[in-house]
Amino acid sequence: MTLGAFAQGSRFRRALVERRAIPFDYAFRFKFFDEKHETRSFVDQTLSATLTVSIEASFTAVSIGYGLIPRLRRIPFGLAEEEDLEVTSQDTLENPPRLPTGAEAPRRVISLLDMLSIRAPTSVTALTFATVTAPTHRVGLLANLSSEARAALIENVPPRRIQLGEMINALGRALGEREFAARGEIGAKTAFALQYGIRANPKVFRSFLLRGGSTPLPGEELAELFETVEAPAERIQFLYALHDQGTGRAFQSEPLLNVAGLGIDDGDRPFRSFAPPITFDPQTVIRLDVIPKSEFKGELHVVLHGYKVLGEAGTPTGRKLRPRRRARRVARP
Amino acid sequence: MIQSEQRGRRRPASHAVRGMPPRPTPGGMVIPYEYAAKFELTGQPGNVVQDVISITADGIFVAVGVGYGFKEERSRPLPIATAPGAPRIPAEITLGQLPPRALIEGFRVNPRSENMVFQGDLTPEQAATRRERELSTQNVPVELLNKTFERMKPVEPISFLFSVVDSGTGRELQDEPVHNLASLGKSDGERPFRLLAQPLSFLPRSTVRMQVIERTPDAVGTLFIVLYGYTVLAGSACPEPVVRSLAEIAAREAKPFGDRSRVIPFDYVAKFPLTGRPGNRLEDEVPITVEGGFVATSIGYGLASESEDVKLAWSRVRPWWQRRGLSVPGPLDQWLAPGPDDQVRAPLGDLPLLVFPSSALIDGIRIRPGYARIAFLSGGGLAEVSRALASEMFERLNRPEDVSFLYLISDTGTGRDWQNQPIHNIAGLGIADGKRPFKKLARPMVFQPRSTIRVRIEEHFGRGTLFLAFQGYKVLGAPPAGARR
Repeated sequence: MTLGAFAQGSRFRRALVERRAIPFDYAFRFKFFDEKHETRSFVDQTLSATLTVSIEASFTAVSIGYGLIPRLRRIPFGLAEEEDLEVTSQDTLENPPRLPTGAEAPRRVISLLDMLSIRAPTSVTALTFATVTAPTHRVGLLANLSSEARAALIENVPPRRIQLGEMINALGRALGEREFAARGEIGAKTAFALQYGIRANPKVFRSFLLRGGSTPLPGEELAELFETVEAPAERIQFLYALHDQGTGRAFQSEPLLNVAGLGIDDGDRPFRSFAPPITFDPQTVIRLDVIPKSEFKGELHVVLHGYKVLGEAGTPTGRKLRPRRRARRVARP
Repeated sequence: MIQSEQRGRRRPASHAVRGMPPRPTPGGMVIPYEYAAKFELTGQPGNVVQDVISITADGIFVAVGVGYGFKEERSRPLPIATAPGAPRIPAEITLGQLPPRALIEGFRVNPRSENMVFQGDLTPEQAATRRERELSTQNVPVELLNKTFERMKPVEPISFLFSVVDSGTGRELQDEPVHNLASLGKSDGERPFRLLAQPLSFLPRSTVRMQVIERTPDAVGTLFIVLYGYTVLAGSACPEPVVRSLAEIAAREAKPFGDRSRVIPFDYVAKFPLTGRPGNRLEDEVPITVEGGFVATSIGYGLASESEDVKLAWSRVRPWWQRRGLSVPGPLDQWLAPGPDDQVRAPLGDLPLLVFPSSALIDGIRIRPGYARIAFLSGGGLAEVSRALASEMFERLNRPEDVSFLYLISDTGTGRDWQNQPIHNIAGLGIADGKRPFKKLARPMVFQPRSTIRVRIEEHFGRGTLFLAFQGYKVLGAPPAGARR
């Protein structure tokens, strides 16, 4: 057998196909958040995405998977208000004066004033006393601060002296759980954040390192020295529908719930495989419609797993095999 | 016996030789099938219950795997008033009057007592779409009030011992009663189900006896043990050797469709609006298109429920009392004080049920586990919290992973059911949270063009839209070769 004849043979062709079949994934991406309106809901809105199979080869999809990159909103926090201070009765040398209301926050302010007058300034930096939300009596108390005391309060403090309790208080305030911080308790969101993780804010971290942690930070930097992320959605539910735009064919009778058609959202394998693989011709447009049914934020990736077979006829990667020539017979004279 | 099998094996070929009408191919005679045994568990460890599965006379059943699931009766009595007293309006009951265990584990309006708590009635469609209902202002006697609400026991794993006996041969399939976890796996329906080491054939009219010994206290409900596999249809008058030979042929799995170029993956979907009322029956029919037959290879399901958040309706309080010509009670008035939500604080125990959405009371509510330490004082009483915190402290019990129902699937084209009785979703389809792999049919089910898949559902727990997906493929053009019946 000649080499050319061998190349024409079915075995060789099979081997060629196997060699040129390369694993390939096509991905649809859906953005379920709006940078300008973070609170925007996408529930029951249909989002469509298309992809075009490349011209170089057909694509055979054997399974489908999905996952969500949650949009984790970063929440910076740090010592910024006097409420963040971890002030206990042990910190004061004498019993703090009692207020008629008996409220917790003013008591702590009084404690702070006592400390300022007796002790050196503690770990406190940029204080925003005259906040709108502050009770009037507290504003009044703080307005009576002497210029020296005010200066001492605003004076920056080395980050190394920040206590864990002060971080928890600041975290609770940033997460909207002031009332727990005021009572020296830990709220549910704060507890989750402590469990999920907090870290140094990368924006401020360089400045923090340059100072070695011993030199005070500017107030605005200390107020954002740490950061955490909000809790991701507990559940991801959406309807999906896959279409082949080229043939106009849908691959389901109606939009289907992700849990019923694709499986759990935590990526637990094996992925959902197609009963027979789907082969899409080159330049086929595949459309995926997604309708969220629960509230979640992030970027949804739906991936068709499969392979491409390079070298098929009619594609740029195809190689035309020249037809076998018949041996030229030369007529003998 | 051996001779019969050999003779039987030759017979199908001899029919063809004689030029008789061709015998249906195995692909057309084999249907996936499930036989379920039901056990009513009483929650008393040591109690022995048993059930018998009777194989139909239609054909031989080949079991390839075993699954199980427990349809637990989660509702427990929730007495509110321990002493006799004047009749009261259910909506005015406060959280402080409920036992702490009910707030932690969850409670709901007893579905049978909805007419005492709410006014009017809803259609199943309205109920499934969570339409809010008007609260009733009727006083309810104390005896009835104690039955108006029920505590919901959380879902817990179950433990039992079981044994299986093939009554036809008298053979036991284990040396002693085996533990469910050791032999069948987790009780939450995690797939894949336990596959039998060798497929087990049961001849027509044979019986399988199953015995269960309870081990979990307080687990009351119905246990389903399901043998899943396929039935080789042979007709009730078919001689036993022929039946055996057909089963052997069917054991060699045949592909219903040969030409893969005209085959496309396809999912048919059945949808059900679950109302959350136990015992409510729903039905859906999925028509197969005329363009080609459909082969179902596996089944997936999931419940699309709405958010678990409970938004408290503070605006409902004042009109409620005004309508009754009364002023808002003092403790409740604290909740309505003007001011930011995060600063207005009041005792949680004074919060009446009327501030909760009616749909949440029907679904069931509980204090979020992460908030329990905040809601309760060290002595077990309810703490004082802000209005903002109270609004985010509760969650509904209606979670997709807790959905519970019975299902029955049938092919209306042939009039055949796929199960011997309605089967619990966990036992027959597996875990409800969408964990893969999906429930694979022991044999692909072939549906002719224009036939319909009928699915009947009996609700037990859960509200929302239930999706049941038949995953498989469609063959375009000619009808499938293996679907002649």
